[in-house]
Amino acid sequence: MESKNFDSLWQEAEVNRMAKELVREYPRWRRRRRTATAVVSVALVAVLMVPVLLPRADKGYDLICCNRSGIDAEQWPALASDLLIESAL
Amino acid sequence: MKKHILILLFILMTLTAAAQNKLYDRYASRQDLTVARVDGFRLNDSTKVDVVMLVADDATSWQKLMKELNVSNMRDVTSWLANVNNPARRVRWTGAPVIRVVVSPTRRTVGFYRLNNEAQYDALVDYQLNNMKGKKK
Repeated sequence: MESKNFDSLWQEAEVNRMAKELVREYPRWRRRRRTATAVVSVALVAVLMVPVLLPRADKGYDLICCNRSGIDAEQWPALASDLLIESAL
Repeated sequence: MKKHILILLFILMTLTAAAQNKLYDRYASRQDLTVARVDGFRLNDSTKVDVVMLVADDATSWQKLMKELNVSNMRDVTSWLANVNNPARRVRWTGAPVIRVVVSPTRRTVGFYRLNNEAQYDALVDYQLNNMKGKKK
């Protein structure tokens, strides 16, 4: 057998082997990729849903500004509430 | 026609919002007053209002503030809740955004509650009614 012929046959055999391997491995790879995508998607959705699903600690106000520092900001919503109730009593 | 009313209401809301901020800015630099602005003060699950409060440090600054605000003319500001226990006789929502003023001489505090719509108005009255009931118990 000539060397050239042998090389050609060898390459053909190699290509066939690779093609078989590809046919065998590709569905597995696709299945693994699909599983990984699903897992990542579920994880991502779960992470994004955490702030929505967890009960939020509602402060009873959005923002407080005060012209003086060092004063407990939480006192202002309480004062706003007290003023309303006092004025109604 | 309806569009014009909506535009007018929007302008009024913008003006009252600007007035509320102006109020805070106007008094924030005063040395004898503590000025606080609570944005989105919660009245119920879905309704919030913006509040500005002026607290006088002492009797002198309180007197000065009362003169500035001309409180003698504002004597009836809290009477809007007269007959509060009878919803049918409540002071009705006028349809225009307003700032409700509450004066508390014991706390030397004036509170300005910005009401943009009837829902806020009703929520404010209900808040007072519910809390009054809570206090009376």
